[in-house]
Amino acid sequence: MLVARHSAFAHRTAWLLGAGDDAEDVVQEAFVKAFRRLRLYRGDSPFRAWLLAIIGNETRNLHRSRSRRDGLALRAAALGGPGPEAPDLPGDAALAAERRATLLDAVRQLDERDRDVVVCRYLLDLSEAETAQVLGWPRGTVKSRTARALVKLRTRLSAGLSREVPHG
Amino acid sequence: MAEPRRDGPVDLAAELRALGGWLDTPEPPDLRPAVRARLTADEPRVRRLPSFRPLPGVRWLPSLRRRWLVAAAALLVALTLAVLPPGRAAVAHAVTGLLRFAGIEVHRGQPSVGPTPNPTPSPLPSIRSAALDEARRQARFPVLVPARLGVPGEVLLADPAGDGAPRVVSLVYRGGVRLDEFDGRLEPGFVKSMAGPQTEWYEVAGRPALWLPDPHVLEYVDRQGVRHTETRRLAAATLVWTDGTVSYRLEGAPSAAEALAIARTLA
Repeated sequence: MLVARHSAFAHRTAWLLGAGDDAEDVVQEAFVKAFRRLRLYRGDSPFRAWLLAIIGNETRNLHRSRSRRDGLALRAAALGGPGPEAPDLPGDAALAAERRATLLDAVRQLDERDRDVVVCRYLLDLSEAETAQVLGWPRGTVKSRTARALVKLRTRLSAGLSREVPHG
Repeated sequence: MAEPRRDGPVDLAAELRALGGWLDTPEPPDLRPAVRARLTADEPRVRRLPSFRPLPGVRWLPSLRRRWLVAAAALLVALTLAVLPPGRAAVAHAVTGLLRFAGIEVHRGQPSVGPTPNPTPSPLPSIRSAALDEARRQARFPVLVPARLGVPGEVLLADPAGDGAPRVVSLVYRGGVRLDEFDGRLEPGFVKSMAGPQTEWYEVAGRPALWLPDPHVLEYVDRQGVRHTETRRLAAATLVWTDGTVSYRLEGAPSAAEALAIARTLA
């Protein structure tokens, strides 16, 4: 069961890091590499982080082989949630959906590195150490880049906050 | 512009984490055959590694190891589908056009490259005709009828559980209009729609409703999450909504306005 969890999460990681439709290939490649290197795995880091590091590496290779990150997970997607057809959609659910759309939009507009760190740290809820492994950055860079990305996000969001008050 | 301080770092981080839960990613495909084939094919190369040269007398090790690897690979992928995050009951939008809402999964893209419907699609699994009263007795959810359409011409029960409770109740009307009622508390989703880029949001009884104005390919997903490609058919314009426990799918209304009018008379 644990291993299966890794597998689903691996796919999600590859997808959200922008592998897009190539996520399948990335994960397949990562599985093969992970199994092939299994004897090299010493168990001194959690298996998940080790596997995710391979996923991260494969996704980066993919981006390098593309002329642009066209498979970017956070590319312009038709957003769900209430659209202009229902501007006065009542209810907390609608408001929350709208907020999520705004938030996702703001994340999408971040620079590549800021976006990657936000995707890892928050959308995928990875630890700092795991994020460092996936992105292949020093841990200090993850920390500072996360803080910077949050500031940027907050600035972007400040304009659209007039209608919503975060609860709590 | 002043930065609103009420949205502190903790709030935003928590919000982003919550957002992650709303992002649905496609199901990992079944990679088992590919991974198995590649591991088997790669085996000679693996064996040539100096660190893994088998000693005489322990030659069974590599093959055992290989068998274990293949078994592990198979297990990995086989179980993957079972631990997918369940479809969300409420509005969720994906980052790449996948939309899960009220038990349906909408894959948006170019219709020309999507799957083609079966010329003679199969009906939903274990479908049978029943009287409305019987449907109400058998279903684990309240079977409602839209007053605007009145008594249905036919009531269909499909994909029953062990005790006979249908997962889907369909009210079929003349003129190609049908209302599928689906126990929305059950996971995974109910149908997959391969729709074009057009989707519109409306509201039914204070909850979001999704309108798919164009013909789209539809297929049934059973309670194990298995896609029934044999049911793949071309569906007419459809309105999808949920009351929180039951999901509704109204197909064949001539316009969004008419579909909404029908949906709002559900009782």
